[in-house]
Amino acid sequence: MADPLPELLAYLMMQSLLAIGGVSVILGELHRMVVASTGWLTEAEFATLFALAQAAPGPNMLFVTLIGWSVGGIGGAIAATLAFLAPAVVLAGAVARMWGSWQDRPWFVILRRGLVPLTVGLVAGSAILVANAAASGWTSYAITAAATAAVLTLRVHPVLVLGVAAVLGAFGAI
Amino acid sequence: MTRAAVRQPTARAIFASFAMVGIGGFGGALPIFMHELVDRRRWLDRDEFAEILSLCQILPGPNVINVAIVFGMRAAGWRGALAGLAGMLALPVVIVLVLATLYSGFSDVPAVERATAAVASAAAGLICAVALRLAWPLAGRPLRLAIVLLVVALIVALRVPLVAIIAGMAPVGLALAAWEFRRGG
Repeated sequence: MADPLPELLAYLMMQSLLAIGGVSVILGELHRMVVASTGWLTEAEFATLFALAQAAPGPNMLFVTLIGWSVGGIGGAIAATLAFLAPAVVLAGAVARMWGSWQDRPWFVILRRGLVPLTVGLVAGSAILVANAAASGWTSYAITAAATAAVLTLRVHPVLVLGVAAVLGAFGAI
Repeated sequence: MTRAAVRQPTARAIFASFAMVGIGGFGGALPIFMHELVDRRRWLDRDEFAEILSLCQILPGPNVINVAIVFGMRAAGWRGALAGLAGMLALPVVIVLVLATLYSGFSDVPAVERATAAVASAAAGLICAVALRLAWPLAGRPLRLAIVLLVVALIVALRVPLVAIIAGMAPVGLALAAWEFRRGG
């Protein structure tokens, strides 16, 4: 059987161009390719690896890392990560290099400012979706509210908030 | 980022800072990203963070990856960009591969399931806090707030795909900003 890794890497490079915002938007397409079309992963493996990528610290593009690991071991994991990063490095790198000379140009100022409400809406919308997905009852929403308040009023470090939640959850206190 | 000249992070400092973001980013890197860059290191203020995030949101690729590249490059050239990426991904890649190798052992323990559920809800709260902090300057600007609320409704109630939301709402936001800019805003 032919080595699937090169095909996976080329596919990931293309998908990276569509992953506007994060891997969440291409999840459906990734599922179509790696489960339905090629069978590189089973349904169960896909779900498990996604949960692991969410549970582990770091950006959720780690899901791509795990797909690469599943297809080609540690080398596949690293190659998949680099392949997914490559388009972003080129494009974001180009934007970054031009930023200085574009800084005060009206069109760039308008672009930066004009997109902020959209971004705030996207973050707020995803906060609501995540809160709903994580919720198993009213206490879940209470935890969400408490975490929000802890950050906004007490400036508690995000990891400390999560650590307290983990400990209280493990002991059944919440 | 006009203030980058005043506080010039080195590539090494960027690596260390982004390593904190990487290993602290449970349930999403955005809250700890904002905490690290805006609150702790003060390399960006809130508005600069909002603007760079907004641009990186519409660029292809994951938004926090793009922010790492753009911020790193602006602050310390290619070395800064690579330091940002390496910091953000190196440890998490190792951790996630270790987790994947071990996962079958602990997933059924009730305490682990409860802890995971609590962390998931708390992580949602962290994202809420980021949304509220970014929204704060929009408080007195009803047209911008209207855009925010419309986007939220499209995502939560109508489940419109992200690309469609960006394609539809980006021009609205840009038109508003252009109109205000021409009026001297």
